[in-house]
Amino acid sequence: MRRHLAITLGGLMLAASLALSGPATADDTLDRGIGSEWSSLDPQVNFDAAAGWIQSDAYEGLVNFDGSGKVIPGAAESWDISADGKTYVFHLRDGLKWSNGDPLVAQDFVNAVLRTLNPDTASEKGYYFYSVIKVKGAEALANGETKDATTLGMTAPDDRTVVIEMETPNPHMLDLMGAFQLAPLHSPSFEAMGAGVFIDPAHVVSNGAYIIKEVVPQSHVLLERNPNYWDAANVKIPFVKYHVTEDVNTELKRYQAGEIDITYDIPVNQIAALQESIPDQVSISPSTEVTYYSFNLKRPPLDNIDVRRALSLAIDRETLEGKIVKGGAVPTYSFAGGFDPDYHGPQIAEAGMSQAEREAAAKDLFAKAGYGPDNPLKLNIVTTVAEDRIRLAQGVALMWKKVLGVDAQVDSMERKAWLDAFYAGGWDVFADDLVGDFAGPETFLAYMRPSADSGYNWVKPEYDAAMDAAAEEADPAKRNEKLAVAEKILLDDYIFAPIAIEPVRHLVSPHVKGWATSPAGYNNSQFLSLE
Amino acid sequence: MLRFIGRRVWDGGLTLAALVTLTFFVMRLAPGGPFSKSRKISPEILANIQKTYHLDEPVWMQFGRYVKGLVTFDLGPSTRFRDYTVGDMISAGLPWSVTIGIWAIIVATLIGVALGVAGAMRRNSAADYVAGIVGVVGVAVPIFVIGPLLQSVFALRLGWVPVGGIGAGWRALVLPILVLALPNVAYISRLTRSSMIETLRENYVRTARAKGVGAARMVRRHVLKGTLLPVIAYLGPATAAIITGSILIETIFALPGIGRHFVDAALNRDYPLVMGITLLYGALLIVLNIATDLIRAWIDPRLRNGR
Amino acid sequence: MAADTVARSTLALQFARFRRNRLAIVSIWLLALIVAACFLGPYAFPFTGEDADFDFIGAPIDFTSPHLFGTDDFGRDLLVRTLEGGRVSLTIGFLGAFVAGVIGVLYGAVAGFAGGRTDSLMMRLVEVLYGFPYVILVILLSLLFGGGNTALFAAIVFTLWLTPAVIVRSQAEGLARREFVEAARAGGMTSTAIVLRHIVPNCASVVIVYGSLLVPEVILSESFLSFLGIGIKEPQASWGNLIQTGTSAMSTDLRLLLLPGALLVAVLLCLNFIADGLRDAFDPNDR
Repeated sequence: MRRHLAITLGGLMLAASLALSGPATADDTLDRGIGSEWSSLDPQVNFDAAAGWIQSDAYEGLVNFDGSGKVIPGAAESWDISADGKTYVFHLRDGLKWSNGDPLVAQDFVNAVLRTLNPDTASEKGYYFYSVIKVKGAEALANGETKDATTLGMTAPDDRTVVIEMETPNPHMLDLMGAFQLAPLHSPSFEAMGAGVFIDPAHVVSNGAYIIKEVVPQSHVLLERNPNYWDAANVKIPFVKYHVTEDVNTELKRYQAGEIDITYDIPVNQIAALQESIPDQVSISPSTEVTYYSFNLKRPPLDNIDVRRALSLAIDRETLEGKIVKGGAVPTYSFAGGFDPDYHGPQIAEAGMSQAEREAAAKDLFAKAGYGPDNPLKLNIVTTVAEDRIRLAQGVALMWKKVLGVDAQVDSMERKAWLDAFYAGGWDVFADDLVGDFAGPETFLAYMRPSADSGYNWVKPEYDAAMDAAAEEADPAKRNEKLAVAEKILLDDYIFAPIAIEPVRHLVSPHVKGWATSPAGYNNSQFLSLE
Repeated sequence: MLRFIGRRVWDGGLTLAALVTLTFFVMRLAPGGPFSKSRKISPEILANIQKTYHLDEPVWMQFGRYVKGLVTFDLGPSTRFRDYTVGDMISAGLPWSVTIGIWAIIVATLIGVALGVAGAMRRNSAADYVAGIVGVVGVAVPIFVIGPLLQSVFALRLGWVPVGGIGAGWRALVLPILVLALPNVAYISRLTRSSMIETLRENYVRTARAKGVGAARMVRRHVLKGTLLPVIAYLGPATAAIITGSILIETIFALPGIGRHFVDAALNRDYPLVMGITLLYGALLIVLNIATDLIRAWIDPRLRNGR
Repeated sequence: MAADTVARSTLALQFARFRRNRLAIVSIWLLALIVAACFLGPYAFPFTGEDADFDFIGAPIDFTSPHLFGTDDFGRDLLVRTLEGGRVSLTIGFLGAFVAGVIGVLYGAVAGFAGGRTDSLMMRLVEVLYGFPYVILVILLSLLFGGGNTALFAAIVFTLWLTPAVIVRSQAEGLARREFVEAARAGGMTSTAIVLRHIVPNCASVVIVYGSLLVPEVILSESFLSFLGIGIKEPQASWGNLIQTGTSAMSTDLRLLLLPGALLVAVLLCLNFIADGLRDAFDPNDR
């Protein structure tokens, strides 16, 4: 698969002039922005949400999601759940086909998971199957302890049945059965051509509503309707083109010129003006990303819970998001709430107070700890260089200064250095964010387990115990109650100050019909139409 | 002549070797890595990925591996664009960068030389002032201000060209080429003007003038030759910079060239891509410099014995 | 030491010639005015450019309010921010050009004077550094230096001393063979002294002209890096990041682009005219 630079250099100009004479975009094409370059089109490797949209159009998992994020039947027309909630049996539709006409069988899904877990694949996505949901045997396969595929608790007893056995029940299991986590693998083409097949329109085989027709790195991916898709009759848009849109301002102009129908993002400083001029086209809704400011428990006086609580109380989240960052984020006082409407979280005292009350309480606590304007506390806030993140950090610093007299310095670093800095520990306050794997509390709470991430230096056996108790519960309502107990333990320690739930922002052309929003952000093109 | 070229190529090879070595080790001193400990990924998986890309080996071994690959023109896999090798990424983007860059250089040279000659022939005339203003604007106003401005006017208001992307054929490249050419128009016109004024004073021109050769013919024959030497010297490195450094243009006009890799690769610590692209730039610079010297020697025989 | 006096008197002559260039003189005064405004102006206001006033967010131009040119969308005074940004950009520009100039001159003078092996080795290093793509070099260096604004400054300077080094080297190479240097050597002067007292002063005119072109280059360079998100970082203002923000809000609020943009263009113009004036002064044949 190694291509030689020397050979390709020859036809440089020729290639460019050929590409220039390509077909122009017509009205039968839905043009969507996907931000910076997709990292991969390999469905078992790609970890990038934007590239995930392409993946969800080109592949279909056992289940699918409608625009509002609801689980709907996908390749599987139905499923049975065992009484203990640990075993799922999926029944595939009759006559499913790959885009090349090959029959799609249950083993193709099992092979996909096996490839994801295989250490040789070097995929970052294995944790979906041994950590987020605990498929039996998955961890041993991922660790390389065994190479025996039969040890996996996911099997295909016949061509139309997939059985998944888990170690603990998980009501959110279906959220991980979509195309992003579980796109089936067409083994013959993969075995013949290796991972290069996924970017090769001539050879790639997929099972979704669309097939990959053209891939131009850093420019676009063109998809065409898949005639062999089981529901092809209901796929209305013939072509979908995903454009790389590195610069948000250019993307906005391209949208205004009609070159793009659905944008990847909206420039933050244009939101207000656009909401005024084209309110119907601005789509801003909460995502599964939560922003929170973590305190370094190893650095006094932040080991004092009163100091941490005061710092959290002094942040006026409404002003921060509404007037300063203005990106459409939703202020929050909880960490795991606000994503699943059936999760009612613990009672949080701060949420019920007015900002004046919060600030008064903050001052009291701060004075109790021996700090105040006379004895100012000095802190640094470590954040990434993204403009809205810096803005947020500055806003928090200003509020701490105003309410508590804290001298907070904002240290911004680019993303890689920021990630390294977290473990190096050279921070007092770490401007943190977490993207949930699905719209439910558990994905966030599981991540905070002291046993899961050592970077927080948080030791709390009670929390681990509470999470273990919740993990055994199969009934969704009762499980949510137990999760709320765990979240209370977490929030009561103030190891971080929750700030806001980040939004997804799109401009959606009036020509596009069927657009809906959900925290998970699934917007498969198959459910949209062009007018 | 052949010996001269041979020596230059040998020198260039040494320079490239030093460049590769330096980049390789300096890059690894920077904090972070292509696969930093992102916090969802378990250490085992991270170790696995590192192993796949040989990042777990000692740095000198990785260097050996890289050099071994270079010998066979294998620039290694990109760690950021996991579907592609560095060779793939460069050969996909380079045609775009080369197309835009070459056109921009052609446009800039034509306009720049014309303005410069006009300015020098009739100093303090209207043409001279126009050239001066273009020169100043081209140098002083950043590309990232002019680009969006032209987009607003010609793409949004007038709709003559698309805002960005490559969907609309040649029309998509008009604005990028113009914007990329502008700063170079400025430099070239100033360079042309001053070197022409200087040439006009040279003895052989004075002699020609005294002999009464017609003004127009004189310009063609003697002066243009003398004037173009410094311009050509400028064009060599400028072409390398334009082809590889059109990053602003590519970002603003959403074009899939290689310019963006210069920033993205370094920020994402895509070691092989940084190496590949540094190598490309270095090689291009060296080749163009040699070519420049050859052209100059061809134009002006006096330079042949110089070095 | 006759050569010294000669050099000094020609320098005086050249400055006399420069003073007759009206455009250049006006440019110098204007530049001085802008520099003074940027360095002293912010003290005339009761707030700094980093103080956000949440009650005045995105306020328009209003000469009766304390915020003369209004505020940005963070509630910070635009005028003060622009002046403070000028302080940063001008400091980077002048200091950067100066430091790069000094390093380049010394490096080039030593290489040109020493000649032979040392010279070719030193110039080979310059050639290798030239081979580095500018952006990658800046990013890697600023990461190596710790990632802050000072690191960025160091990285910019590091990429800029190459050209002066090359220019000075070729000058120094010629000077090293001249009689007065030979005489100094014969008179027992140390190499260091010769480089500092003879070579460097005699390169002055070339370096001054080139340096005046280097200043705008550094300022523009910083704004270019700002656009790529690797320039001076907020909350610290610079003309680069102010113009970058202004450009993205161009269609809704032109004010944010015009104020810093106009100052930047004015400074660049001044520097260009000054550079032209200097060149003309040093090269009388050109007029």
